[in-house]
Amino acid sequence: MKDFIFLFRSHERELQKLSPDEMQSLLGKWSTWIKKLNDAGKYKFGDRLSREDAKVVSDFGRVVTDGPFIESKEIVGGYIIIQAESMDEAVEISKQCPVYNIKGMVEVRTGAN
Amino acid sequence: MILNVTKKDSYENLASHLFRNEAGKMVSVLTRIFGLPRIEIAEDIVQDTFLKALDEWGFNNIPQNPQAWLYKVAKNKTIDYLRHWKHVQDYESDISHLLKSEWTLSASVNNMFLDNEIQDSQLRMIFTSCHPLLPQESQIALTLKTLCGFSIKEISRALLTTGANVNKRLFRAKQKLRDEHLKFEIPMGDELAKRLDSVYRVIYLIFNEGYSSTESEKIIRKDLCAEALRLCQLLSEHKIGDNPKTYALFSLMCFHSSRFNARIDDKGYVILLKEQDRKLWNKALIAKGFEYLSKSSYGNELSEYHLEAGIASYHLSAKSLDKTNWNSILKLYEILEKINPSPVTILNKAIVVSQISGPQAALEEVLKIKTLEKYYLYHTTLAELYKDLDQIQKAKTHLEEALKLTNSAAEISLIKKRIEELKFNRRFL
Repeated sequence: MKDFIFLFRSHERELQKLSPDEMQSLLGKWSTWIKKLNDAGKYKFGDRLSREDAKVVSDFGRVVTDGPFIESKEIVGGYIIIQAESMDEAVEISKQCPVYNIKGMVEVRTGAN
Repeated sequence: MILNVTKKDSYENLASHLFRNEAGKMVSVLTRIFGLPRIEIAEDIVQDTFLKALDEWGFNNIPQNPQAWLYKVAKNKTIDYLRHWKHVQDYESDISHLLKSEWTLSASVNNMFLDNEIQDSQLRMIFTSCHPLLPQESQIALTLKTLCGFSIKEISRALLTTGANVNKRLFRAKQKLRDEHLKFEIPMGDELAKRLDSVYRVIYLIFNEGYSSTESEKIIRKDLCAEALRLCQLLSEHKIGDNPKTYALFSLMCFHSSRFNARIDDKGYVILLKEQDRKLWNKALIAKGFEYLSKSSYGNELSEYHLEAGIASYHLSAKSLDKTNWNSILKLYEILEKINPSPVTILNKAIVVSQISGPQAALEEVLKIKTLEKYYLYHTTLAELYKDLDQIQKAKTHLEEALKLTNSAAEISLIKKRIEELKFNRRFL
């Protein structure tokens, strides 16, 4: 078993377009998915990331800017760390992720060693 | 966040459509604070509030009292906004003077989120969205947007039009409200009855869009019916709307809703009343319909909602099609025809006549109507009558005419099915 990190990237404007009902149903989809991973013993931990409380620091701290990060096309809205046998299995798991509902993507990464 | 998933099904604690319902309440409350010309600020703050909920409630971290959480965030965002812009903007609202001083700002905003104030604000929003100065289609779109928390996309799906079209309608409607300097208020005196009628009409049309449309998806149709019922209930709970017509409309919508699952089959085809499985009718909703029908019977007003509810009540209390009290139904249709001689009313009356006096008498009634030749239901009704009179060729001609007059996929397949059945019929002639 190896640890894999899933980074959830999505466009802010896709979120803005959602109706209240769609947002509620999105919450439900996340909750169901994470719970399923947890029940299967795959989930280690994770979090959604605040959109308001965010800074970008560069040039040894001489430049500190507020998020959201206009330069990048998507923002990272959250991450989880899961356990899987292989990259193939991790990718398979990521296919059920609710982030696709808002045209987002999952970046699946693992340690180099 | 490691332990959040072990919290047992915290998401399950969220009432269904909580966000949609709370959106309607919060937009109404905030519009009252910021004033009608700045309704967009209200909508933005509400949207931001839900986005914050998406972030903070995370993967499964729903607060104990989600509604209180939403209100707290919305209030804070509102207070921040007002503080930030206090030297720049004036607000056209009845509490604007209280929003300028730090002494009264928080208390005034808090006050607006009390139950009775929320209810009051929603009533103001209903009367504003259904204002007769706006075209009816804009009234419907605005009501779905502001009170029912529908997105542009959801409205366009519900009303079978494009998002751009809905956007245009909403934009013009808001422009009109600003241009006419309409106040965000509940009408009083002589004005009230007229304005209430406009509200009833919009609720009824939203319901009908959900109930009768055969093109939009089932989920959105059910939502429209549920929203119409919710708006009507909201009206009935306020002293302004506590009157027989409100109850009659509510009763009518309960009766119709009770047949929602029985009248469309799995493939989306319409099932005619005579072929419906009466066991699928929802008894709880029928009972509710009768409860409100009796509540609607005080006073001396007999509205079309009363009559339509009465007609539905006879259908729903009949054990079978044969045991239906057709004579009583016919009487109600005759009164209804006087109040509102719409094509549907006249055609429906003819069907009742055919049940009582046979297809020949009904045919004569229908043929008297001259204005409906471009209306597909006119032709399907004629076809049905000719079929009963064994005039199969004429029945076929009218069904083919009806085919040319509708674009609805479900209607077209139903008519084609009926043409097929005619062939079957002929074999046994």
